[in-house]
Amino acid sequence: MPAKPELTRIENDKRTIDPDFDFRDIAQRPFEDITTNEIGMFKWSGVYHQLQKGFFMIRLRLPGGVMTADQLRRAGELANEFGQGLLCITTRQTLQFHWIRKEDIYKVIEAMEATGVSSKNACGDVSRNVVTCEMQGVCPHEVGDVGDILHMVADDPEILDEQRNLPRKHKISVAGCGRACGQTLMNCQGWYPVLRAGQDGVDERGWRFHAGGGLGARPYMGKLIFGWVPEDLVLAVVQASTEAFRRLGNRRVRAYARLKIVVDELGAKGYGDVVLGIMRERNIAGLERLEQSDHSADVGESYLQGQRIIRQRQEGFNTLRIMIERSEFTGDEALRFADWATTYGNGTIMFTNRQNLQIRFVPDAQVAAAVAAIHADGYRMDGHEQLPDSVACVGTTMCNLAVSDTPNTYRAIMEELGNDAKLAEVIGPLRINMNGCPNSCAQHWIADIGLRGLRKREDVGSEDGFSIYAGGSLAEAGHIAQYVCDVVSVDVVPAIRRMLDAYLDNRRDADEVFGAWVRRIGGADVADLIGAEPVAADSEPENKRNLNLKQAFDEVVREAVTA
Amino acid sequence: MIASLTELTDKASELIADGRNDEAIDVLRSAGPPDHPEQCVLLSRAYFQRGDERGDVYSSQYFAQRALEMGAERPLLHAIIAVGAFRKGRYHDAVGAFSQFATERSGGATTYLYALALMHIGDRENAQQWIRRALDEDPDNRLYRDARDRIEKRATNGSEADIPHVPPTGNMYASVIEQLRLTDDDDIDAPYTFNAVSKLRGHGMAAKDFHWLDVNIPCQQACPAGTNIPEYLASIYKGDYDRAYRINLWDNVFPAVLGRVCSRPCESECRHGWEDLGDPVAICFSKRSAADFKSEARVILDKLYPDSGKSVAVIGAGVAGLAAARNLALLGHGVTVYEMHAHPGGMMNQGIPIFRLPRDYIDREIDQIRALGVDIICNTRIGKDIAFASLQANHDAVVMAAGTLRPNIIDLPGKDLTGIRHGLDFLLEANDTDAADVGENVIVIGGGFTAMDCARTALRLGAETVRMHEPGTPRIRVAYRRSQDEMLVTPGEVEELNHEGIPMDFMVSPVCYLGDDDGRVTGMRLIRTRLGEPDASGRRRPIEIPGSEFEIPADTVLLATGQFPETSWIGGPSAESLVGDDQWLVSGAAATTAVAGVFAAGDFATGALTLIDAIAHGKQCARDVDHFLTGEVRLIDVARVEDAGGPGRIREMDYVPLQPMPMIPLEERSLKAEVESGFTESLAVDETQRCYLCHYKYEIDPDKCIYCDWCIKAKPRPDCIVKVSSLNYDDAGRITGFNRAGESEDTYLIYINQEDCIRCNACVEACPVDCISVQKVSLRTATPDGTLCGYSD
Repeated sequence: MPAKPELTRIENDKRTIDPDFDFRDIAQRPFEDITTNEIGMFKWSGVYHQLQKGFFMIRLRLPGGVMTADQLRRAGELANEFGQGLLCITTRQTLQFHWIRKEDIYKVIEAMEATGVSSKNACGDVSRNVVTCEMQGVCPHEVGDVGDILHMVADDPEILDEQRNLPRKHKISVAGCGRACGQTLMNCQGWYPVLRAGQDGVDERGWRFHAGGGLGARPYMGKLIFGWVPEDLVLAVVQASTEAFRRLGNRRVRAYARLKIVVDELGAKGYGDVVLGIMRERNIAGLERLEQSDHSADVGESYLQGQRIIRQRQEGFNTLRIMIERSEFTGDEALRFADWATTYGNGTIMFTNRQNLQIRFVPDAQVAAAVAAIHADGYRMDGHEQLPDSVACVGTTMCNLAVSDTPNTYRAIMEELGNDAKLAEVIGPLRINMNGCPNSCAQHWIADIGLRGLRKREDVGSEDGFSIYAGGSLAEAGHIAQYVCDVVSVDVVPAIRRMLDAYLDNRRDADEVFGAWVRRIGGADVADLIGAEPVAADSEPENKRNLNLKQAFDEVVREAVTA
Repeated sequence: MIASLTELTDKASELIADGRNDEAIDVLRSAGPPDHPEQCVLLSRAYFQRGDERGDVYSSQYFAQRALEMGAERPLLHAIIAVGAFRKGRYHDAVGAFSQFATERSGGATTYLYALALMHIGDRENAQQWIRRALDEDPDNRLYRDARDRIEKRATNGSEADIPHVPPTGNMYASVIEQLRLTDDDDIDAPYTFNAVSKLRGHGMAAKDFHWLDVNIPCQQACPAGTNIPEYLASIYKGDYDRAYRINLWDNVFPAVLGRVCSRPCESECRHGWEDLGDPVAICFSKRSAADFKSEARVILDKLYPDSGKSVAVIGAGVAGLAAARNLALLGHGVTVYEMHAHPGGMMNQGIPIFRLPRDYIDREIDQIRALGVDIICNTRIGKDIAFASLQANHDAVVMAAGTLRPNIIDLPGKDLTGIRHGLDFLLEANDTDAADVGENVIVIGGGFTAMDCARTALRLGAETVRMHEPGTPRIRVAYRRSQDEMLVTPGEVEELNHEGIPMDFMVSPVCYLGDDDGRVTGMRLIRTRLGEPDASGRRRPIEIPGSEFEIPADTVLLATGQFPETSWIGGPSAESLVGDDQWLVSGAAATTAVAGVFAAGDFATGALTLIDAIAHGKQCARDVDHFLTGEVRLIDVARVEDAGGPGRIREMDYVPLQPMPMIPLEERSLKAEVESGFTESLAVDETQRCYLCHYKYEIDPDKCIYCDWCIKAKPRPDCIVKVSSLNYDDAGRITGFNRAGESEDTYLIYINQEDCIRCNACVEACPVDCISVQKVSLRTATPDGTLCGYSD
């Protein structure tokens, strides 16, 4: 008989290791006695072993990205006490601690739980933090208020407690309307509400259900599965779709385990049939009211176009958008943001997909004072969805998987391009996302310019670099960014400059934004337009230089020690 | 807490001084969250000393910065920040950090790097000043002098235009391989010297291609006939027995025979049998299943060329002669084989008992050769019935494949006693007549294939059905002067001897034969031996132990001590040129001889070897004859490189245990009952799935690889995928080794070390950018126009 596939290591771990660890016990155990299998399962509690041995990252679960000022204040205190004073906003609208020792994991988790914030299911093969559009709850375009549905999904016991052995991570978005700010097409499940005339002539709210989106190393845009889901069936569909993933996801090869592969193989109709079949198994009534769709997804352009202050749908209140440099802030800054939220707003903070934050419900009368305080402390509110609003992962600084030092390239972009207000104005909307590895934590596939880490072979050794992609978008049926070229890191800024010059020289008119221009001409033509001129004539291969200088580097430190 | 912290930081300092950086980090972490300046200083130093692996430069800078924030003001911290910034090309940051600690009294390295950082930000005046300080300290330092020149040049030109820099363009950076794969051309050269083989697709004939085959497919390399073992095992696994048989038929002429009695040099080399990887694949038993389950009763290969009009005589219808004859017929030549015995088959008939090799199989596979037009004339002795010179005159070429028929009789006192026989004579009689008088006590001398066969045959001659230890059955002993490790037998053969109850005396050497007054042997005197240094064969030489002589009784002594070519029949004018004084051919093991048009094949040229050796020699002889007859090279070996989706294996197949060969029970064993009953189809699948399919080549496309290391994280073996700074080549361009990269920056390639790769596919599944190609590389025979011979892809 041909050998049968056995459970992979991680699948075996998921069956045999209880994911709800007692981190007080872990704190007592010698590090060497904790198995790599156990450390792998820490993720189900939101705990990741970071690149530096013995230090951990803890990710919180913040459905919809909203935190209270008290919760943020506590997070800041804990970061200062246990995590080198560092906090990081994630693209899934939550917060991370870094540099946490195993002895301190339980202290952070328990303290945050005391404020009502859990880290359960923040990582691992579960439904991750449910995201939404950054204006959810305050947006003038929101179709009603989707907060209840969002929390119903996020806190559903079946999703949260029972579906904890999925083939791979599972991501859900519940957006406020059908615009691209809701990230609908890049999630495993993407939901947004629509209105249509009901039988009694009154508008009725229902939902569009998309599935099979996902980025990672192999990006897919979500497909429209159901064109209409009555609101009372939303949770049942969420549950059935999660169950479908549990049953059909590839547990053999993790690279092909995500729901996007299942949906791609079955097609929208086939996947819809599977979901309906599971709902029938579960004796869900009213399935005849569900409408399968044979249309492509059709998401509108993002509402967010560089606004600094957005008037909320709640009369007299405003949302202030504060840009956070490379997603990181200190514990002391957390305390400051919490103070702003209580002083000027309603005591809530929204963390955004572009790793920034909002102070919400700032009364008209308080806006000027709030803005002044924000600027006085050196934070910028301009440049959203433009050059300065770049997104970068931690890259090789702290991630096991990364190839390139994204923070370093982020800084280079910000220093050389991000502060050029004139350039930003001329270019208009331009979202740059950079990722240190083929995974897409920083979502390079859907950015106007996406960088993905690589090393480039040199005559001797190799050097930090990036593949450049362009033209990504979550609008319409979604557009995955197209490959342009590979560059070493030192050439990233010159290459972007040349792309922007080419855009300005070749766009149809001033209304054609950068992303639309790339999609019109294609990545290969963009590469041709970059041309063959030297882009960084003053550069030399860093790796070669560093290899030659390695002895000098060591000597400098020795000299400093003996000085 | 402070006392404890001091203790820990002292310990960490010592560890750092010893370069035990990871241990130092563990100690520092155990002191609590790094919130004390001294902790951070030492963490910074430890991470700095780790090097440039991902995270290290960042961590060293990070903790240096934290230490400064906590009030620890030291040159070391600024130095680490400065070096980290410099490494990343952040020269402004580097200058800022250098300015915090560099002074006129700083060492040469500090002032030198400071100067370089200043140069990069365009501050040439200060750069000149600082590089002068470095040179003041060490005027002869080449690095410092070069830096001074660069700074001077910048001062003159404003920039360093002499540093060439290749710009990024889509076309230039696109994968060369990808571009080439888009073409329809089926023959594409590999673009880089570090590619594993010379072709991306097509037929490679470079030294590196054959080197790859030799190194990567150890079973095929070990097979003298070069049998495409992994490909036929894959066919068996898929149930395509016809194709599996055809592959074997092309490569080794007698698949059903060799599937039973091959000496299996392939199995001892099988990658699955390497240390920690389990047992080798049962290649031979699997091969037999192809013959057992094929659908076609008779398989006739297509001729490669039309009739040439040439005629070749082959002397001897053993495996070498028949292999040569078969291939000569395929090449379009007329062939007549002359055999002195009543049946063709040579050693297959004469030397191997029926219970190991039923004669039907020999006949069927010889019949497949006859079907190609080969004429086999038996009962005809060359030199007696037909003169050798006559053959030369009547044929365009003559192949001597007369085997080894001259026994090696050990020259001991009593050698002429009755009852002392050569083993092959005994086997021939037993095989032909089903009978031979061996008496009650039999001694077999020797430790090879023939010795085993003699012993087991002698056992069976005692009764129609052999039952061990019953009165009346012969008592048989095998005596061998070396240890079991030195025996030239196939795996399992000694075990089967034991299973049938035949004892072996190892480390004993014959001294003399003992006889009675009637001149009949009654026993032997032997002496115990110990093993000395290896002899020319590589096996350890036996050395007699004085005073250890002993005697054992015998009615028959069978000598399985080897045999030599019999050349006395070669007559005519060529004899003198062909045969030396020692009765061996003067041309040695070569297929060509000193006489044009006369060739030698198999044991007759090489001395007694194995069936598969003889077949390989016969095939080579056929090529040499063809070249002689046509003046052309009409068959070539190529490394065929073709795309493959993947081997279709799963890792669990590696853990399937070796499948034993089913055997008939002892009570059913006889002279004619085949002992090994063969794999069932189910067992054949069980066994063949174990093959790693080493002919699949896993290779990373260097233009697509992003060096993410994910394949390295997934690899099952320490050296199957490695980061290398360079590869080693020999003069012929063959990759002979690799040099590991020390750090990230000198990593030139992520390299699949083909020799250690077990084709598990884990790297392909882990690769996020699909840069690992899976291709099949096969040793194939082709005609010069590229047509593949023998079997389809």
